[in-house]
Amino acid sequence: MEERTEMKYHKGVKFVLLISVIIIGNFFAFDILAQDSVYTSPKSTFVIDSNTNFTVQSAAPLTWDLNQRVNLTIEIEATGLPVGENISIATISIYFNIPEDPHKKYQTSIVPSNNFTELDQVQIFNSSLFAPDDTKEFNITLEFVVFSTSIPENQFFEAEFPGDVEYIEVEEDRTLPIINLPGFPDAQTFSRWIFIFAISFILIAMPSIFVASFKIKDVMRNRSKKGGKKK
Amino acid sequence: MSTKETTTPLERSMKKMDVLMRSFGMRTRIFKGQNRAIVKGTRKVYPYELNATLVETARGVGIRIRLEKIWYSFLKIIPFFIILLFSVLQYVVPQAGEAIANATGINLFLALLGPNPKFIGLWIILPILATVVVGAEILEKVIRARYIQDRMPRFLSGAEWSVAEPPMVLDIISISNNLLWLIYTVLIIIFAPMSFSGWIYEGFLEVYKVDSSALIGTTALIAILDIGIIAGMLFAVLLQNYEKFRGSLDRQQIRHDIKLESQTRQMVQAAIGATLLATIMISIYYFTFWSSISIVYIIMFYGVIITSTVLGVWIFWQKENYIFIALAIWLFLSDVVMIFLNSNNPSYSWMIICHLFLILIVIVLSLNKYFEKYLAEKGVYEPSWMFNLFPLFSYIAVFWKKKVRITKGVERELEEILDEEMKDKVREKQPLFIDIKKIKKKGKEAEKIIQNYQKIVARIVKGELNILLLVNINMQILDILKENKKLHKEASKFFQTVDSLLWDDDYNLKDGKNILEISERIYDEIVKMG
Repeated sequence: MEERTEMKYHKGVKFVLLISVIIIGNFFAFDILAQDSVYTSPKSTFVIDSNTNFTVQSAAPLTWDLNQRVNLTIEIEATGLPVGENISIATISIYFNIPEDPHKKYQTSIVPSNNFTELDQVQIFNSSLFAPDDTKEFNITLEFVVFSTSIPENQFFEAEFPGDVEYIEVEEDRTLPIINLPGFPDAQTFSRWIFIFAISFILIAMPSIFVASFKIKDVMRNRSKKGGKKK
Repeated sequence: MSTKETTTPLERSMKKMDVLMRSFGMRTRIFKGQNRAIVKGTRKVYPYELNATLVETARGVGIRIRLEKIWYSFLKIIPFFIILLFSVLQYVVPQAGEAIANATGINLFLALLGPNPKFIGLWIILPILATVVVGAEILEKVIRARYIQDRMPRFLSGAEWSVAEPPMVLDIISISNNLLWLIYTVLIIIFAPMSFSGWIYEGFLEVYKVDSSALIGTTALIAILDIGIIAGMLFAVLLQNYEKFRGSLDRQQIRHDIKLESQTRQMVQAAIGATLLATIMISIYYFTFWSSISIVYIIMFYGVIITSTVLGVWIFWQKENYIFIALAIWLFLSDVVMIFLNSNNPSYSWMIICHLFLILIVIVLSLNKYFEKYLAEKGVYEPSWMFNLFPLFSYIAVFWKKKVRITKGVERELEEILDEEMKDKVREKQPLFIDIKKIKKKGKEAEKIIQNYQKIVARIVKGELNILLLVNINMQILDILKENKKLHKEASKFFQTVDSLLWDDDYNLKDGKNILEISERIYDEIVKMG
């Protein structure tokens, strides 16, 4: 007998181990799958004047999950900057372009605090964005407002993300939210339903209620009989 | 050969009838006269009365069974009638339902009929089902009466007890009727919010962010799965209880012929029964709660109910109560699955909440089982009370009557009777010994009549005689005399006289000359025939 219980115990341990491995394995698998690869757009160079220019390169995943923040990284490098001059970027505005919609949708602006003062100086800006919820694909327009010491008027430049790929895809995430429980119905419905439930429940329980009540009666009668005998 | 030897055949037959009736779960009363007795048996769940009249004749005890109060069977029509009444009301005066809905928030008619009833189909199917159910009930009672009549010996105490159970299909229809209304109540609970008045229902839909058709569709789908599984499992419980009931009866009454039934046969029987149950259910629910379902759902319902019945039978063999645990597990686990499904399709929201409450019903249904012993003590032996919503009055009757002759101890009494019967049988098969001295006292021509009878019998059979053989010989002689109608009639009279002379101690022979003459003529006829 002892041997048998030991065997059972071993079996149980193996079973628990197997289940845990499967569950933990799943966590890892989903973790790996969840990391989307980041796409980096080709560099585009904007010329302010013949000697002064800068390049912009942005990076973000090509599929964005709905309802999840996505990081857009913008890398700006001062590729041409004469000594003593500087480039100052007033704002970087981010717009979404949705196919078959002529108006671009404004999302957010970044106001850089530092100027570009040296050649090959690199500044990186991050912006976290939500994918638009009314389309399945879109792309991003980055609008730069720039001026420099040589040309102090504002100049506008536009860069596209993703660039050579046409659109970013929006993916409806099917695992989110994992649990959607709106809770009990509103009081109006629930109170009435409970009433119907109670009546039906009593109907279904009727045999039990009758048997139980008579059983209790029997028990009580027996008790009183016993009591009477004692007296 | 104890004190029992002194009882008369009438008393013994009376007792046997009494025990037999009680073993069917009936409560009995006995009225006894000089040579006539009446045993009244009453069954209280869907009650009916059986009257057995026992008459002592010269050849033995005669018995006639009569059914009484058969009108009780028609009580099973009541729920069908209620549904019919409400469907007619909803069809003719739908404003009434709306008025109730405006006042209370609940459309009473639609709550009973489902959100979108189909009237014509309902009106066709309700009378058909009611007829089938009541017909099956009456047929079962008639067969049962016949069965008791056949099991009781007509003239010889040792006649074989034949086995003639009512066909299984009648039990299945009775079970289906119980489950039909139980599940109907469950469906009322599930579909109740859809029958609430407009603004309440809209508020309900708003909370769950779902549109009406999606909600009804999903609810119907889950209801089909639920009902398939619950009804299937409960059907298995009832079917197996019937099997047990019948089996134990047969073991008590014909223990020399216990047949072990194969498991496969029971499984197949359960599957066929489940098909019948599903048909009865779908034929009424399709016109009420499930009016929107497609043929795929119907096929699915059949599949689920048959599978769960077969599974239920298997679980029952392990332990009966496991079935209720299985049902609770199904309701809980399906709830968990639905919670996850609900993230993309909020139409499951309602059934998630409903399942929480349906688990309570399973608990109450499992209690039903625990009271079985108590009911058996009270004389209710048949499982037809299980999961039955309606025979409240009979419950009251069962418990209010204090003094009853109950089923308890029937087994021992049956054993005694069987013992006695065995002795009777042995005596019947022993060579017949005729005490001429005793017979002489009964009349002048008595001796001669018996001698003539012996001569006649000797022409038919050579060798030893016993009581069983005599009955056959009498039949044979009557057969020979078939063509001579006058003599045929007289022969019956002659045999009766012979019986009385042989076994009735208090008999006094009258009209002896006439009988003697008849006996001589019969002898001549037999000799002529060769």
